[in-house]
Amino acid sequence: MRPALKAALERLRALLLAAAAGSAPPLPGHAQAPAGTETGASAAEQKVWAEARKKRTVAGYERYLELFPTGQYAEEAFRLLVEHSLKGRPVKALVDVDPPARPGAKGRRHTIETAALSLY
Amino acid sequence: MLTSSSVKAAAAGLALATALLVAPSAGWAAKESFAYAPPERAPKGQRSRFVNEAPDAVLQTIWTSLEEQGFRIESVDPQQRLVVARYSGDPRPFLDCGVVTLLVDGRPAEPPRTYGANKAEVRTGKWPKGRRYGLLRTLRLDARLVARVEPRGKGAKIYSDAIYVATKSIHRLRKGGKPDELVNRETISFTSAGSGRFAKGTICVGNGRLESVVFEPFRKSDAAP
Repeated sequence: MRPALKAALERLRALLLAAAAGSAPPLPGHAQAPAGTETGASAAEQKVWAEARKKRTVAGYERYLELFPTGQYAEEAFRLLVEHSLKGRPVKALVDVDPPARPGAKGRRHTIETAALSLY
Repeated sequence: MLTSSSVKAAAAGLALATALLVAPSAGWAAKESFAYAPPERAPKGQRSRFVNEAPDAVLQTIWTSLEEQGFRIESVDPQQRLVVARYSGDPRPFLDCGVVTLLVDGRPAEPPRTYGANKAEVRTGKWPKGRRYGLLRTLRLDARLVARVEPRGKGAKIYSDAIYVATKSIHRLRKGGKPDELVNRETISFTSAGSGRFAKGTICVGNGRLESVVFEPFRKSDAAP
């Protein structure tokens, strides 16, 4: 295959990959750091992260991770995303009722501390 | 978050904490408690490998392979040559959270019952205020795997890194073993290079298999020595 034709096919394949993935190009002025390197977050990243923290929604954290997949706050964003997606069922204090001391009397209610029921 | 070097140091410290987990052996019923030993392995960190193939072809292969292995593809960026995949479910294939030994009245059960603290589901009981409460402990892993490909001469270098989020939930068990109220939930996060610690002292680290799935489609012979 001629080099020019091969290069054109490579470019076409990259375009198709991008279209299929629906990936966003990097934000202006934002250069993604290679994995494993430490760099500070860009102004654009800080702004998106601040918006995500303000909104506190799954969509906000997803947007940050989509724009900055290896961003400085990726770990926190992913943890918060998981936590928010699990919030459907709230944690309840365990309240128990002791049997009444005599017939007709009311049982005594007491709360079991969460720490007392915690497991490794 | 703990560093890799502190995991082994924490192991010694947590051996002492084991005593705190042992319940007093009073009362008529045999009481269950646990002794805990943290993971002995250190986190392996980011993984990388050289592959003697064109970077774009490598990216395509990784994408296809992750899909075939059942990972959900979160995003693919051909410009950055980045694939992000998600795993949600049983933590056992990818997490090491140390080992738990069941104690009955403060002594190891007979026959001995030892199992990984990374088990997805455990049914047991506790005795606060002298009454037994059946409990269901579940552990779920949500992981985010990032594979990145860089050109290296005529080949490509693959970098693989992950974020782990482990969620521990405790439900009360009613008669017949039916799960009821959620009484406790805790989430920890850490990366390939780190470890996470639950409030009760349980430490979890990635066992390195998640990062390695990226390299599976490439034969060892493809890699540089």
